[in-house]
Amino acid sequence: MRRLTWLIVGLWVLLLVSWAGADLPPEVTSWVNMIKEKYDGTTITCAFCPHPTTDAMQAMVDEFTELTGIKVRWDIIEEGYLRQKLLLEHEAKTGVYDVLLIDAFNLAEYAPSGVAVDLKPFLENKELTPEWFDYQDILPAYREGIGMYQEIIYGIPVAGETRYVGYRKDLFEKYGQRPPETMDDMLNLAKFFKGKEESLYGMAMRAQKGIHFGSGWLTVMYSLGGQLLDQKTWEVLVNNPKTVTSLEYFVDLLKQGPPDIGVYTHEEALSAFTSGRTAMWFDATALTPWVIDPTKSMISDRVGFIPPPAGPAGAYGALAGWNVGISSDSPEKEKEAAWAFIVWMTGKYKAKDYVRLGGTPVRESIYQDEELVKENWTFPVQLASLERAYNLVKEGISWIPPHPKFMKVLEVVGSYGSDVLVGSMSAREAMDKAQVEVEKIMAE
Amino acid sequence: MKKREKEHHLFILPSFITLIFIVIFPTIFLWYVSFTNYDLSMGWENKSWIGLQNYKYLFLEDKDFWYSLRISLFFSGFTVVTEFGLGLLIALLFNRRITGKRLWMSFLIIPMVITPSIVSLIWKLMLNTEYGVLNYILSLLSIGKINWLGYESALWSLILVDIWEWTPFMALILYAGLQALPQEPYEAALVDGASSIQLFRFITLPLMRPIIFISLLLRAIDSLKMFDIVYGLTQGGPGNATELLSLHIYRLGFRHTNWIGRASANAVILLLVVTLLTTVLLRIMKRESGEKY
Repeated sequence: MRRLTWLIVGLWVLLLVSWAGADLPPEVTSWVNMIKEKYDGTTITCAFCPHPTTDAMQAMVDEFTELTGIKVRWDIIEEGYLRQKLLLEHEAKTGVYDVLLIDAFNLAEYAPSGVAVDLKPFLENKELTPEWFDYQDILPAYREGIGMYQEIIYGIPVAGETRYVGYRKDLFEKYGQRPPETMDDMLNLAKFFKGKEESLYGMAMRAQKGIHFGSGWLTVMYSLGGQLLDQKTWEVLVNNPKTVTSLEYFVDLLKQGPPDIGVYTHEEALSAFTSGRTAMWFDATALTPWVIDPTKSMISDRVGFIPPPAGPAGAYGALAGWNVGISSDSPEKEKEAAWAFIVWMTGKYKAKDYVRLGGTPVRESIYQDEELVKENWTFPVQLASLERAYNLVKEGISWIPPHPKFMKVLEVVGSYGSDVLVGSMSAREAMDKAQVEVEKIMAE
Repeated sequence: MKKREKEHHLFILPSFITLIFIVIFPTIFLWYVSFTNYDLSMGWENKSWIGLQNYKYLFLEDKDFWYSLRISLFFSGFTVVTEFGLGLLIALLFNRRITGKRLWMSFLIIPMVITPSIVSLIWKLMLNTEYGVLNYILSLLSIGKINWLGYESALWSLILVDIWEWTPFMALILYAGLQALPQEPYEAALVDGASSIQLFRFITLPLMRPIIFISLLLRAIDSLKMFDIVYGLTQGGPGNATELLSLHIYRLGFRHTNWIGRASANAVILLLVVTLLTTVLLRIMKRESGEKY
C-alpha cells in the first residue's frame, strides 16, 4: 500500500515537472502568464454533453488549469436534455454555467432568447485573443455555417460534419463503373448495383419516419433545387415543384436500398454498408471511423469516398456541428476566464492534440496536416465535401434553416415523406397536404 | 356513536390524498391542457384556451389519427386473443405432470422480464431483412427473404414481438388459476364418466372465468397503451404502418412538433377507449358471476 502511494506521488511529481518544463512558444507563454495573473483561482463551469469534444477537452483540461490557475468544473448532461437545461437555467438567470456546448441545430432557438453572448468583442480583444488562436483558420463553412446566426458569432466551432458518399471500390472496379459525379449518376449506379449480386443493394441512407427521413432528404434536396422554406422571407416552399422533384428523387434512391430502409436511422444505414450489403452509402463524415475500422467494418479495405455529387442546381453539401460559447448569465470576470478556456481548447496551438485525443477537426491547417492525413486518409475528401457545404453558405442558405420552428417543419414533412416511400400517396399529393400543415405551423 | 361511524374517513384519508395527487389531479390537468394550444416551445404562459380545436384537428385534419385508432384496436384485439389462446394451452400443459417443469417455467419467464426497450432492440436486429437471424434461418430452409419491417408486414412483426413477450404472462396467470381449482368437481364428474373435453368445457372453463376476465382485462389495457416496443422497433413507420395511438400521442407532443395540447386531446381519447373497454369487461364479469353492477 505504501509503495503504491509513493508510486502515485512520484507519478504526479513527474507529471508536474514535465508540465513546468514543457517548452511553450514565447507568444503562448506570455498569454498564459497574463491569464494567470488576471484569473488565477477563478472557477468556471462547463455545460457539455457526452461527445468526443468533451472527452478531448477533459483530457486537456489539467494542463490548462496548471498553466492558468483557472479551475474547471464539468456538468455533463445527456444530449437531449442539454438544450432544455440551458434554456431553463437562462430563464431562471442562475448563471451557473460559463462555457456552453451548443448544437448548431439549436442556435436559432438560443439566439432570440439570449442564452449565449456575441463573441465578436472577445475575438477583437487582442490581449485576450492571441494571434496563435487564428480564428480565420477555422473552415469558413463552419465559422459561418454553424458558429453564426444572423451574422452574430455565438460559438467557436469544435465539431463539424458534412455528408459524403462512400462506395465499394472493389464492386465499382469489377463492373467497370466510375464513382458518381452527378445526382443522376448516383441514382443510375444505385439502380445498376441493386440485385447485381446476391443480397446486394444500391444505396444505404437514413429514412425512418419523421426527422430521420427529413434529414436524409435534405442531403439531396439543395443540389436538386428544392427548399422547404425560403430563408429570406420564410415563405413555405414544401410543394414547390423542385422540392417535390427532390422528394421523388430521394424516394427513388431509397427504393434501390434494402427493402426495410423505411425504418433505418443512420445506424442501420451504416450497418448495411459496413456489412457489405450496399454498393454506396450517403451519410455523415463523422461516421467515417466506423467505416474504415477493420474491427467494425467488413469493407474497410475496399471503400472509397467522394464528395456529394452535383445536381442541376449546383454542388452542395450538408452542414451540422457543435460550438462552444459563453453564457450570457455568467459574471463578467468568469466570462473572460471562460474565453481563455475556449482560446486554449480551440486555438490553433492545441488543435493537433485536440484531434489526436478524439476531437473532430474543424481547421483547414488540420485537414491539410501531412501527419494527420497519413493517420486518416479520408481528410482530403472530407475537406472537398466541406467546400461543397460552403457553396451553400455562400448562396446565403443554411443547410438547417435558421428558424425556431424548423424542427417542427422537418418532423411534419418527414412524416409525409415516409408515406410517399411506402406508396400510400404520391409525392405531389403528400407535399400539397404538408404545405397546408407547414403553413399553419409557420403562422402560429 | 356518530363519531365512531365517521372514524373510517380518517383511515381512508391518506389513500384519498395519494389518489388526488397521482390520479385525479393529473387527469384533470390532462383534460384542461387538451382544451388549450399549449406548445412546449412556446412556453406555459403563452398558451390560450381554444375549446374543442384540438379534437377538431384530430377528427378532421390529422392524417394519421383514425388509422392509429383503428390499428390500435386491431393490435390490442389480435394480440390479447392470441396470447390468451396460447397462454391457456401452455397453462394446461404445465398443469399436467411433465419433467423439468420448473426449468421450462423459468425459460417462460425470460421474455417477460427483459426490459421492453431491450426487447425491441433484440428484435430489430433479428428482423433485419439483410443480416437478421430470422431471414438467415429461412434461407437455410430455402425460403426467400421476408421484409419483416416493410409497410405490409411491420404491424404483423409488432404483433409477433408482443405475443412473444406477453404470452408467458397469460400462461402464468392462467396456470396459477388452474392450480387453485378445487378437485372435488373433477372427481365427481369422472365418477359420472365425463370425457376430458367435457371436463374442460363444463368444469375448468366456468371455474376459471374470473381469472380469465382479469387476465384479459390487464392485457387489453396494457396492449392499448403499448409504446416502448413500437418506439424501439419502428418509431411508427414505415409510413404510418405501426403508428399506434400511444405513439401518435408521443409524436404530436414530444417529437419536435411540441404540440402538447393536441397530444393531450389524443391522450384523453385513449383514456376514454381504455375506460370504455374496462367498463364493458367488468360488466360482463360481474354479470357472469351473478353480482349486480
